[in-house]
Amino acid sequence: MGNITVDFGSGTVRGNGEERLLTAKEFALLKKLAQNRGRIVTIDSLCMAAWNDGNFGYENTLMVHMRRLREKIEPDPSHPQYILTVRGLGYKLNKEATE
Amino acid sequence: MNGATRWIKDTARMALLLALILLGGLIVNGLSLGFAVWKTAGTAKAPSLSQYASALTKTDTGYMLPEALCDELDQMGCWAMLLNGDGSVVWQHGKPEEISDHFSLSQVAGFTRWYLMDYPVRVRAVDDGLLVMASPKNSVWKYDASMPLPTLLFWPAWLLLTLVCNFLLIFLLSVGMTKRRYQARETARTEWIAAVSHDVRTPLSTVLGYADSLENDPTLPQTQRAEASQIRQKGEELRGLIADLNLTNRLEHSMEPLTLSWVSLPALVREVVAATINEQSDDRYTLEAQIAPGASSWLLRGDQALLTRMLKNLIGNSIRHNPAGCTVTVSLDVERLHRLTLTVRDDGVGYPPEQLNKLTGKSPAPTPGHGLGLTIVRQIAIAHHGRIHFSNLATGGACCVISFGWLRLRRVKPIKQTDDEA
Repeated sequence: MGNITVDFGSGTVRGNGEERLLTAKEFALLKKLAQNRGRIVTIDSLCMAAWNDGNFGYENTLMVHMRRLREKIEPDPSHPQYILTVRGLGYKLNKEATE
Repeated sequence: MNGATRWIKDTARMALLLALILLGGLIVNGLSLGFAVWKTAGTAKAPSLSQYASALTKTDTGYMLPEALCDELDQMGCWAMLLNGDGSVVWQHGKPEEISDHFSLSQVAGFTRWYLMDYPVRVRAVDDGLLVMASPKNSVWKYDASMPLPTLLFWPAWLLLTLVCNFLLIFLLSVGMTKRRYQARETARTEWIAAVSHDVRTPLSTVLGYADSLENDPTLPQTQRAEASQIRQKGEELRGLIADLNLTNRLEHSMEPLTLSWVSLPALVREVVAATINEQSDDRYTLEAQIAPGASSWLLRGDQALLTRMLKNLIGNSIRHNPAGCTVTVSLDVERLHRLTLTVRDDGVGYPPEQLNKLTGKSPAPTPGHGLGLTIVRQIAIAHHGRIHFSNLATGGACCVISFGWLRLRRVKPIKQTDDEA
């Protein structure tokens, strides 16, 4: 992803000269998104991946985790280019950076 | 409407048949009883008591019965005697030796009621005493019957009750029998359709397989591969149609068993909409999901696969009938009285009027050319005890509203959000 590399073996993000460690949940979420790259992944299946629980109630928690994930990956977390929000449905990991 | 009238007619016919059978049984019974009475009437050895009583006259020496009547008594094997007030025999004709000449009061009471030394006797009070007339032994059955008056008076009510019960029985039996006949017929039809669709599917698989291999054959010219592709696509369409026919048929006759579980509709809506967007790369169509926050706390008791199918059909229908493109909005709301409402609407051309009539039940005749998709949608909604309403929006576009009542819903409490990593 651009000049950022994600190592799924060790769960680390490398880029811009620094190396950041992903938490277990962030790792699970990113892995799920990467497996379905270019496709929308619903909130429910992301919750299922991270918490192993399809029940509702995690939407807000999920939002928090996604923001942290973006902070580690996106060059500009407020204007994400890779992890896109699909309103009402879920998230999508873009194939290429938009613009 | 039409089916109901026919059903009522069939039930009435069945009831009539049952009533006739019952009536026939009654007539046969009556006839056989009448025949038996008529057949044995001549053999009865019972001279008329009143005739003898009036014919018996007192003479100076005793009593006298006319010769003709005496002969009649002998012929029948009967005998007669007259008792005076003291219980002594003052006249007799043919009285056997074993019968005594004097009777006490209790003896008289006894034989009046029962038998006199096994002779069935009848008595009649005359001016000078009691005329006793005996028939041969074992010729008449004699029984003294008595019944409390209230019981006797209850008889008409009892008869009426029996009659009503009979009518009720006829009614219930005919309803049950008609229902069974209908069910048998419907089962036969459903099974027939299932068998036919299976038989059609088998050769179709071969067609599809070969079309697919032709399509992917690099040695063939491009035009022929395109033709093979057409064969495959249309064949797949045909296979889908057959599957739809089978499903709609099974749903119609409630033969499709629902695999019930607690389904989260918001998750289902997101899943279907996301899947449709993922599979559909066409820019002309926009899909939106609007899920009310409160909707997440409800679970619906239903069949996940069928509900998914229902939503897919609705979205697919909007896409298929609007080649110029449209925006499909799927929304989920919680209404008052705990009704969960699923709305699928688009801003396209809307439902054709004749199809709308069919879906809202105004015209019973099936309209060809519109597929079974929406019929299946309606059937699935009804199978989940949901209310469904199809309409065209004033602003243009089709709108389908399906709502599920609280009986099929369950509320789940939000999970305590424990953020183990915060």
